[in-house]
Amino acid sequence: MRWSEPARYAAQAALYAAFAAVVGYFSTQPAFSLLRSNEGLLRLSILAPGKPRFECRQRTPEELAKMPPQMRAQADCPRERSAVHVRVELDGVAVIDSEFPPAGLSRDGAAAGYRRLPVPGGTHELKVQVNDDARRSGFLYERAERIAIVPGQVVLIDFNPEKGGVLIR
Amino acid sequence: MRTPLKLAPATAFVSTPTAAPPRRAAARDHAAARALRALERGFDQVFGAAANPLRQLGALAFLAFCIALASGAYLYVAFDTSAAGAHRSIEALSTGQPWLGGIVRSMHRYSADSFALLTALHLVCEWAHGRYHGFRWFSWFTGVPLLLLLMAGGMVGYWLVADTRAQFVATAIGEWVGWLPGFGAALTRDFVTAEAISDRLFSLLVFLHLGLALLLLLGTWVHLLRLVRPQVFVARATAGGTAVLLLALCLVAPAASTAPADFAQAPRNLPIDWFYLAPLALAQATSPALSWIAVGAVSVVLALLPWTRRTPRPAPVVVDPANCNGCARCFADCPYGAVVMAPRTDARKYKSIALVDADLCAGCGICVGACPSSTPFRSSETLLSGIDLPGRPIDQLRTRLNAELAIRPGAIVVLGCDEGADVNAVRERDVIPLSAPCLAYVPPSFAEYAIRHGARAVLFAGCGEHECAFRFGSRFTADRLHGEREPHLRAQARGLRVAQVDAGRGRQARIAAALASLRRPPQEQTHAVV
Repeated sequence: MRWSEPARYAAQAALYAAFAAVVGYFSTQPAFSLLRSNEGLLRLSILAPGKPRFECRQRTPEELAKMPPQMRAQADCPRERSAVHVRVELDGVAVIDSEFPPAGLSRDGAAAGYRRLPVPGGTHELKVQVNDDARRSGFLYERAERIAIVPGQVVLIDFNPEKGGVLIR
Repeated sequence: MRTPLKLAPATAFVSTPTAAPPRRAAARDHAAARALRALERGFDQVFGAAANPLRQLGALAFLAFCIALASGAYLYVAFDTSAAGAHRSIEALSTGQPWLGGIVRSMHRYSADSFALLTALHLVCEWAHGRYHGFRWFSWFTGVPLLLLLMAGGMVGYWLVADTRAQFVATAIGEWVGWLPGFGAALTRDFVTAEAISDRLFSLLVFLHLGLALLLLLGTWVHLLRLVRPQVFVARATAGGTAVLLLALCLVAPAASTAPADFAQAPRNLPIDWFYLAPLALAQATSPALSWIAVGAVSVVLALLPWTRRTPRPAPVVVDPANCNGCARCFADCPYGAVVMAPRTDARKYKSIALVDADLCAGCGICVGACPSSTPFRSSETLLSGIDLPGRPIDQLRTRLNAELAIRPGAIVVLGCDEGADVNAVRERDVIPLSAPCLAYVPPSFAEYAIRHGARAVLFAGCGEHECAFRFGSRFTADRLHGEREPHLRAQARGLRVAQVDAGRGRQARIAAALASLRRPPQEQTHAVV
């Protein structure tokens, strides 16, 4: 079949337009939503060094005598830090209960943790408890708040002992 | 690792029986290839073969990349790399100078999207044509990392705009990359609060975006390393059509930012670019692990694809030092750079000799057709060429031609290509069909030889310039027949009835039509005779 010149040009225009339509459409569509229309987002993001995992030990005079003079520190403090245990309750239900280990080969770095949780809009009772010291049982930091989440809102849970412990923003 | 270059002994070229060797292409024409070929031929009707976008998808993708680079250079000049100024500076382009900045910005977006789409189409078409294994493994394999660089470059580009889409990209990349061992949640934390985003981050992102583009350019060079004279520029008509379509898209749907990033809000109904951000959307909708598995699996499958087919590779050509005079025509004609010229160290008077890198050789035999020693007029009992295919020596072709002409004097000789239309399917009483690995394997002197030995006419039937399996077979044959390329058809032979027809795979009807034309008196012929 041989095409007439006008038909060829029309078909070319149609094919170029089809390509442009595909490019134009998928450049922005379909729209993406992480959350449903009535949901907000609870986001836990912490980066905090836990307390030392073990107590310092006092070296004996005999031990100190065996050490080079410049290294004779009285206290022997192991480097390893505690994991940071975080428990989040929403309306009385534990939605996050995780232990974030310290970073590093010697496990002496900061513990980092991240969780993301869609929550329905409305008022909620939020309770966050943290323990950053493996030598002590229970939770050392706690914060409870009544929060009103509007759809699309992000509530960020952070932890910084120097700023009072648990932060809810 | 490449095997050492070796010179083969002359005994490798002695011909074996005169029975027609099996056509290489017969067994590997699957449904996808047939469907794509039909589509390409349909597009040929509309665009003309030379301007057919489907036949130059790689070059079109490169054109889109170049447009993205050029438009990106303008955006770079206007871009403010501070966290507070990034969004404002891009918006100023769209609102402050809509006819230049707005169009350039939109052009950057749509050329980048076209680049991604054309690259994907290029990949699918090359796969459908079976151009991913054998000697082509290198080009295929080196193309796979380019997909990842392309995707990464696009993701970082969207991050620079500092709008809610960039916020989605930042947090999604943080979560996605943060899932990998060695990165962790500490990385994610850097992208979930406004205070964690610093001016320095945007400077870093700009250089990352530019660096990925430059890596892509470098990778493209590697991707094309094994092709001689690769087609990197599209036909003028195609370039014009592409430019018009991109410009129209920029005017109809100008690229726009969403609201400035706000980490107190989770973006909803976000107009994301699926060409680049689909893996992030998948990671957000399911899990980072699933998205990594999908991206990794696709990459690994694509990278290993060349080794999934166990089709025997045709034997590479070998050089016969006794018949090589170092003319370098094989070097000039090899489409894959498999032939190099080296200084000659033996007692012969010639300065150089051809050497073949077997790893690069496609076994097409175009070099055999280029060799002056391949002329069938040589008086030796066995036709020994300076470079020849061990499995399909040129002597075999002359022997078969002589044998057929002895049986059917006055017949029309049809010289075809294994990869094109099956010349054996048009076997008639007055036709001698002979198939070669590639049309340009046959030196033009064979046409004159055949006619001087009793043939009525000679028809060269190849895949056609735009369907040629070995890139230059049909074009080189046409050039040789028209005296524009060595070895050319002698001037004394120009009045002989020698014609060429483009007959790609399955197009036996074109050969039949050309034969019908050649059977008519010269003044009634519709097919051009050289």
